[in-house]
Amino acid sequence: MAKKIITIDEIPNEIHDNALDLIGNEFKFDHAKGMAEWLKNAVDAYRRNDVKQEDQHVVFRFTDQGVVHPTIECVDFMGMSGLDIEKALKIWFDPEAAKRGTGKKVYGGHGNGGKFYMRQMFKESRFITYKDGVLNIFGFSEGKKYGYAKGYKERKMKPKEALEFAEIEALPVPEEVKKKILDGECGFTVVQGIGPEGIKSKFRIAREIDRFKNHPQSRRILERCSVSIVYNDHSWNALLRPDELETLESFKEPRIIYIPEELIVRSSSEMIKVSMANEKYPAGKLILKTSSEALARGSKLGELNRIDILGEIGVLASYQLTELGVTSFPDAAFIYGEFAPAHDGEASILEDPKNDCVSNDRVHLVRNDTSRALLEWIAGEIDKLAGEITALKREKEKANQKEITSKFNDVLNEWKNKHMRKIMSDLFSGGDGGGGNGGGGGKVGTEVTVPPNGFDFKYPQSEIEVNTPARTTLKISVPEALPVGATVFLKSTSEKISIETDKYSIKSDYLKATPEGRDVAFIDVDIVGSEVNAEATIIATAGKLTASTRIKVIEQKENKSGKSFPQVLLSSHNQDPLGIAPEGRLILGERDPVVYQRPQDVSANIYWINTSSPMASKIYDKFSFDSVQWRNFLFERYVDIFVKEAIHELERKDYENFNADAVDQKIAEVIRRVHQSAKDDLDNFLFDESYVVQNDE
Amino acid sequence: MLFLYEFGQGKKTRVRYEDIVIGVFKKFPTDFHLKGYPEYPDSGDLIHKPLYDFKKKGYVNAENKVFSLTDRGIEFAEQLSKKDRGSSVGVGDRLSRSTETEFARVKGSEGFALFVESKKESLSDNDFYNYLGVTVRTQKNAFIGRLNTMEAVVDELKKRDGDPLSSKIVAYHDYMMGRYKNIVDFFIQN
Repeated sequence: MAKKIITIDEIPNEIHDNALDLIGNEFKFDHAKGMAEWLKNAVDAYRRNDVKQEDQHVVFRFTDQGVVHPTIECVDFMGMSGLDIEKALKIWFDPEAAKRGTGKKVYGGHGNGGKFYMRQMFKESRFITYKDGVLNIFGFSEGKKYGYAKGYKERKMKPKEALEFAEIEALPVPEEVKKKILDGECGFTVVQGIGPEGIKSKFRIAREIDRFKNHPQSRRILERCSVSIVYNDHSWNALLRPDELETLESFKEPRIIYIPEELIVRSSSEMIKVSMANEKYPAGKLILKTSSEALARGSKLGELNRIDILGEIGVLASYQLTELGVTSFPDAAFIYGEFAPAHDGEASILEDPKNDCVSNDRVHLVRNDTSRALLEWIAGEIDKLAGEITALKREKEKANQKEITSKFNDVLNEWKNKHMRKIMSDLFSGGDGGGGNGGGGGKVGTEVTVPPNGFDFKYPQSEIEVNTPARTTLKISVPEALPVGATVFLKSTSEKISIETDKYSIKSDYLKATPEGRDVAFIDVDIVGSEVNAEATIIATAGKLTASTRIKVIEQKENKSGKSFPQVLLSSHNQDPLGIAPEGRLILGERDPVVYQRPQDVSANIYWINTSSPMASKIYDKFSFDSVQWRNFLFERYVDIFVKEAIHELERKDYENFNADAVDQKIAEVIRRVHQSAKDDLDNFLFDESYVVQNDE
Repeated sequence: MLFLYEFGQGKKTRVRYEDIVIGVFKKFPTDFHLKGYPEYPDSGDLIHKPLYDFKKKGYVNAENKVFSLTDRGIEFAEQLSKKDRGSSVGVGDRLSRSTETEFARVKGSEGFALFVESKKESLSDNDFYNYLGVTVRTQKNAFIGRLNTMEAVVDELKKRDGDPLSSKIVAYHDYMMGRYKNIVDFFIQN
């Protein structure tokens, strides 16, 4: 077959309007996004004409009163000529459209966003644009076809008339702007959308503006330009600015991380190297910022929990952190930021025409190895920062937990002080006969005497130590005053000095004999004072018999070997009262005993519960310090201390018979008595999940 | 010491002070009678002081005027008893029984294992107490007694040239005594 030379005679593409529907639908517009597109177009109009930022005024006008359909308008004060419309507005997908041949940096990318918004999201829409004394109206009909409004193509009009025609003469813009229009130095463009989709009759203006001001495509522009909002002819916001976020206390400074020149990413089944910088495109930087308020999804600021990918000018794409594969939530919700070229005004490698990652709608990057590598790297850096936030929060939490667990320990210390003396005295007194209450008053070796009137307290007044179980003894002549079996009632005149048992029956075990052989019953009444300097009268009655004794509560005394009760403290939590530990806190390791003492602690009667012991750490990690498990752990350590004290006391008191059996028996006895005492007194503390320490405890 | 040894039949029997006073008086009436009253026993410093000296040496345990021999005390009393009978008291190359006991105890301790594994940083004061066989609540004289006992053990081990385990225990002793000198000082001074 002979070779034939065939040359195609090129003609312009003819594309069915259906293609616009297909592409337009992909934009997935909402009004915040569409308004951001209009804003970019307005700012681009100023940029093409070298208008300084402070002179770039844009007004968004919302009208839903006195109109058939609600209307959204965006007004700038530059204006377009018929040529602009022909060369830019009319042409779809022209990457140079936004520049209009100026070569200047503009926000508009492919020149479609604003137009598609008009076409897709309104019943009708149009540009009313005025420049050099000529007014044009170009827009989309209800049938989504574009064209000029009849009679408004290249229509000559005086500036004042044009302002009135567009109904913008009363807009809140500086007088000099209006003056420039009237003097013909500039024009204006009103982009008008009538009958916005999703809005039947009323705008939810606050919601729309909130979303608009924080939208990735508008947020940065709003930081610099003068954008005002008019709602039903009233100024709603004279200078719209994006929300400023307060930073987390310990992360005030933005974190800037330059991207490595090369990243490794999995592509199919192999790992490949992806270049993220070269001579033309220096390594970009990730700027991470923190917010003191969680930018949680669904919250007012939830949309800010994202990374905007910036290009030479404007935002190329934007990703919510949840879209990036960030794993460190919930603390990642305090992070937002941007990935930007190394220097302002530089293009990003993502904009390299050989590997263009920028998509048409600028929501996400085009998915390729470069964008995947970048996004994975960003996610990793966010996780790192979130990890630091988590660690810091955990430290703070620990500090709070320290306070809680110290309070729990205070409760146990108080409980121990109330019961230890009685338990230990019961354990080592060799039996007190009266179930712990009777007979103690008549000590061996002291002479038993008959009480005055046969019914009286041993002492008319006495002092007891605060929060320390004490006894006052009632003496009764038996049977002259009362027979064995008679009941004696007791009461205190103050709640601050309480009586453990308010009723006693005289038992034969309570009886001691005087030298003359007369029987006297000794009833030891257990009392506790809860406040220093509190005073009360303890009154005993039995039929017509009455006796009283005066009790005063005093400070706890310290005996020569230190405090009368062991003081139980928590390692790493409580201050070292002896001031020996470095920096005032005793830090123990996991190999140190769970209940620990230094030699100096023995004489000061101090015990430490090792909060770094393996079980303590496990409970903290699994349940935290305010859990019932932790309270039980603390309680068990108190039991350990009771046992230790009892064993040493046993050795001291009965070394001759100190052997494994005796120790075994004593341990069983201590635990039984301690549990008996705790089951009622510490009921809520030990078993109630929701237990909290009351302030007065 | 001989009385405690014989009374307890070579075991660590606990003996009340009163029994010791009467026992030694019966056994050695000329040595332990009340001054000026040969028919009455002396219950004062003549008995009391040596017992508490023995406690410091690690031969005797004492609590609330009840006494018992330690392993080392039994061994010492055994030698005294042999000497009393005119037998030789030499122990030869073998470790004494009390040293064997301490040797086995230290060898099996977690602290020594850490030391051997060069994990000295993991050792704590609790390992030191375990090494000495005391607790933080041990009384001063008993502490000193245990200290003397362990030093005697180490002296014996030092004589076993060429036994790597003995050398390690000696090194462990030296290390622990140096590292926890403050604890030793505290017990001795208080």
